Amino acid sequence: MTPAQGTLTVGVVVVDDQLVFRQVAREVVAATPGFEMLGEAASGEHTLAVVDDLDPDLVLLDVRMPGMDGIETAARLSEARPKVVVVLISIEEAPYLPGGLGSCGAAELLRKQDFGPAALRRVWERHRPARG
Amino acid sequence: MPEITETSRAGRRTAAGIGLVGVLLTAGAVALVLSDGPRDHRAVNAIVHGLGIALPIGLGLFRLSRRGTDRFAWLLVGTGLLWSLITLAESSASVPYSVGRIAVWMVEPTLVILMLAFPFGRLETLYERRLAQAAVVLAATLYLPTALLAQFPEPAPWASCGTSCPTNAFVLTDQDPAWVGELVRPVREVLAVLIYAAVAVVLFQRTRRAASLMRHVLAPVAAVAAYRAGALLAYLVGRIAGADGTFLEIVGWLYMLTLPIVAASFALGLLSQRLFVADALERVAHELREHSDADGLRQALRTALADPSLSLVYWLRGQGGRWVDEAGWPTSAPERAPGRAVTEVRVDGRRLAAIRHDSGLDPLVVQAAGAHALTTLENDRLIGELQSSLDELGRSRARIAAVADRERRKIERDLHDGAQQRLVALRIKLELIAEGLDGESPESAAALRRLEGDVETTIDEVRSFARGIYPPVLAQRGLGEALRVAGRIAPIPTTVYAQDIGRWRPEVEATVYFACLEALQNAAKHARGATGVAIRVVENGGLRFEVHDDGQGFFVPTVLNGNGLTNLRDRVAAIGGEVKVRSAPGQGTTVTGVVPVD
Repeated sequence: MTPAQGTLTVGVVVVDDQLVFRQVAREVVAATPGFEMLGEAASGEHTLAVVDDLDPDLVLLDVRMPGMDGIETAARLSEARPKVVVVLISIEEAPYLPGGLGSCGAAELLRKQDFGPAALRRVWERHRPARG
Repeated sequence: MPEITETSRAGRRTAAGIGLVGVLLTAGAVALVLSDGPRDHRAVNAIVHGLGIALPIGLGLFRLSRRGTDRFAWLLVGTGLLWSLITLAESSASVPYSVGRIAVWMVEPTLVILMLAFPFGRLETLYERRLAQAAVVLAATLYLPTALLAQFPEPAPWASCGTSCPTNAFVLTDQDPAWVGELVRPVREVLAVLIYAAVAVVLFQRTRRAASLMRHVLAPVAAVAAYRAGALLAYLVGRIAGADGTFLEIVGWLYMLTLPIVAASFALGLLSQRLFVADALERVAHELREHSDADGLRQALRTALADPSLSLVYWLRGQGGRWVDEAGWPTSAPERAPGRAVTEVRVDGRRLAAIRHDSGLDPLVVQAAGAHALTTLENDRLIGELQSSLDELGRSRARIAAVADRERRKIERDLHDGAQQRLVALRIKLELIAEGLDGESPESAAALRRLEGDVETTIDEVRSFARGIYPPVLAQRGLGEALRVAGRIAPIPTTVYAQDIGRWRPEVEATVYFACLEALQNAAKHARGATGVAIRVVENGGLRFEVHDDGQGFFVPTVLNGNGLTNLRDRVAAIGGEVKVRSAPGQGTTVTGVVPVD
């Protein structure tokens, strides 16, 4: 939910089966002014429910997850909530990832180790929905 | 050739017919000698001629009654029948005498062939065939035509008329041309002795080279051939030197006895072979008491048959049937090679194994020893255990392969979920701290960023390491995706056709993946001039894969035992599959394989 003040914070949801990364992501979002961590999901299956619940602007999706992986989750998310900016995150590089990366509706693929306040800001600036 | 077996009525009739003819011919020959032959030593003559007909025919038929397709036995029978014509040379009438003398010249090459073809009834080497041809040519050119030109030389080993023989009924000239006596005869006699000497040499060499069993069998015939050459030489020299008539007659008889002696050697050889078989079977049984596993069986057969290079492969009936070696590894069907023969071992019509052995060993002996050994094992219920232990070996190999793959996936997962995540988190945290220090303490921020670089390098290394152990995409998405990734990052343009492959047991996916990867890496490293690699995987009665490159190709036998290819084969064989590599210079390389997926 956007607060009533002048500046709108960007609501972020992080999805990764790895607790370690979810914790670090929380720290990064907390250290980035203008962004707020709304919640987390630990699997692709839970993501849609969490997103419906929390209505974020930006969803960070790890590619490698047991069960429904990030690419499949991104595809469903883009279909169900096309306004949400979906960013795929992976330790692996694009060529090593399964196919379907380009067509699942994700805005971009971000290297996990590159994640940080600067990367977060850059990704948002690049892919935020245009406001009329 | 018609087969005479105990159970074949037509065969028995044929045998009886030939036997009857043989008896009649023998009787006729003996009667002729006794009634019309020269007076001296009629009895001895009759015996010599009778033996020459009866012994070969009799022994040949006896052998054929045991084993219908013995070529040598047929040769023996045929020679015996022809030999009966020679007895006509004992007649005092001109025409039969002449027919008999000419018949001798036609039968002599037959004897050469007989000796060279002993004991299997075949002329094996080019040299042997040439010798036989030489004997035939000699008879046809230097002997037969002279029947029309001159009297027959007297005395002769095969006519006991001594120096007072009937005239040649076919001669066309009144007087013997001088050149027949002065040129043709000496030349042909020398050539005849040379040919017989060459036959003796060939037989001695064969005897020397043979394994111990065959040596017993071949030695007597080699001796006969040598003695024959010597006898002919002695006779000719004696004739020229005007030796005593009795001496010549005796040498003549000895010479005539060659055929019966060859027949007798054949029978002796068969006898010694039977003794050897019995001995071998006894030795096999004895050895088997000591060793009763697959390894012991081979050792038992090697010792029993005195062939140290003997090897054994087994036929497993499961899954359509396949050949395995003693360790249970799938192997190719055994093939003949120069000096090596393959004998299948069947028990009750069922194929159990195949033995590769020295080609000098009689296949019957090998089959008997092998069948006996396997029957003994079967009687002891050990063949069943052998089969199931080979099966178990195969399954345990598959299990080991599965466990190895599970372990690798686990290692990769642990690396990913543990070390890699922490390294990534570490780097992110370092960057957070560095951004915090940017304003206050740029040097510290810079130092931290240098540390970040080290962490990045570590992340890359660990990731690369993990990919090598087990590519994550293989576990997550399966074979098709993993191969597409491999194709994408390969240093050579690679196309992957693996639509709708689906998921399979992890060890199957991993094996096919790593096999294709190995083939792809080989192509990238070694296929000079290759413009691309095509990888195909399809499910069609098993998971089939093919990796083809259009590079320069290589000569398969020289490279086949390189480590990568051997590992590939072992990996695939461990789960019951097989791999074939086809390549030729200029035709690219194709690695194909199939893995069972039932």
